[in-house]
Amino acid sequence: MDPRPPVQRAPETPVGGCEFQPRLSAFHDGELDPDAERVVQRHLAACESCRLELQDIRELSALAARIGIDGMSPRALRRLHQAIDGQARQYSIFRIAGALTGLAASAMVVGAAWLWDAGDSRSSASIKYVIIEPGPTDKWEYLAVNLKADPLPTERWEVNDQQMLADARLTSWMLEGLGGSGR
Amino acid sequence: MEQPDLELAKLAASGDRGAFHMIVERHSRGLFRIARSLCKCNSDAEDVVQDTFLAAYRGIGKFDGRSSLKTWLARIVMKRSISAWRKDKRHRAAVSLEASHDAPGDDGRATRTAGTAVVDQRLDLAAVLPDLADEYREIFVLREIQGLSYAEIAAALHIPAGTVDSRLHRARGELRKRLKGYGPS
Repeated sequence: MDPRPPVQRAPETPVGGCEFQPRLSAFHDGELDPDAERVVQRHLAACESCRLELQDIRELSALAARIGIDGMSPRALRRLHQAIDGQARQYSIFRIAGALTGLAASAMVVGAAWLWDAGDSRSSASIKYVIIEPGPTDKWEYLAVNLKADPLPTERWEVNDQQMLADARLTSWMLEGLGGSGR
Repeated sequence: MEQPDLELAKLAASGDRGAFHMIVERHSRGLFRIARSLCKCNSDAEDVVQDTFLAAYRGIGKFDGRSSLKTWLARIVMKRSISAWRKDKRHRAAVSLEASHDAPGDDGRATRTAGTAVVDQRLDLAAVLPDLADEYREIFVLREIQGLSYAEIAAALHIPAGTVDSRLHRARGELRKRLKGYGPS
């Protein structure tokens, strides 16, 4: 039986791979501290598997480094700046509209508050009654409302006032019409 | 002296359009690279970048400065790129296996070694990156395209730096596996 304890494999170590492999990414990126870097360098000199792994990582980085290296075309960049200007203008309009809406809403709130306050003071302080004076009533109306006789005895009525008589006749005629007693 | 991003963002939020144009000038290149890594073509990526900046313009007042403006914009562009990519279902079926540039990277590190299982540079990374799990894709893009440090990524994603390390390792492994799957027989 082998008395040596089993080799503790790092969790990232691939099956069949070297235990240094998980450190190669950080080594490639220059993210190891100087001591750890020296250890990896010494290991690389002796481990072909890790050298190949590192080569792969470098190739991948080189591939990524070339992506989009030329940048956006000047035309696309110009279009981008124009689009931002367009959006900014649109935003300005929205901002003005928003400000005006806010202003209108504020005016409404202030007005409503003022009316509320004014209404409240009127009810609590001194209530003023408004009396509407009746306007001049037509005589026929007066007769229609006040005369008891129905129909009006306009023929036999002894009234000196000719105008009053005429109004009474008109009233009688209208009441007959309204009551459906006419022809 | 260059104005800090946060200052420009505050000015833009107060209605200074010029400040926002400066933000666009400063970040459009980086955002385009992210979008391009997740979109099928330049034109789509340009549209996504435009949408991103317009959305950022509308929401700049909500930017609270807890993360950097660069990271904030990067996350918006990633979400929009993925959303655009998912809408375009046909893209999945049309993954291009056509040859792309085969030149080594600018730093000269990317040299092919015969007989080794290297990533085939003819393949389009943008074709497989959108299919990666969200947590892997995001971390890969922030590191490889945006060039953020582990600490910056940890701050941006609110995760421990150790998680950044392990997740990035897995993301790279997953990407390499998928790229090999598309490789020439």
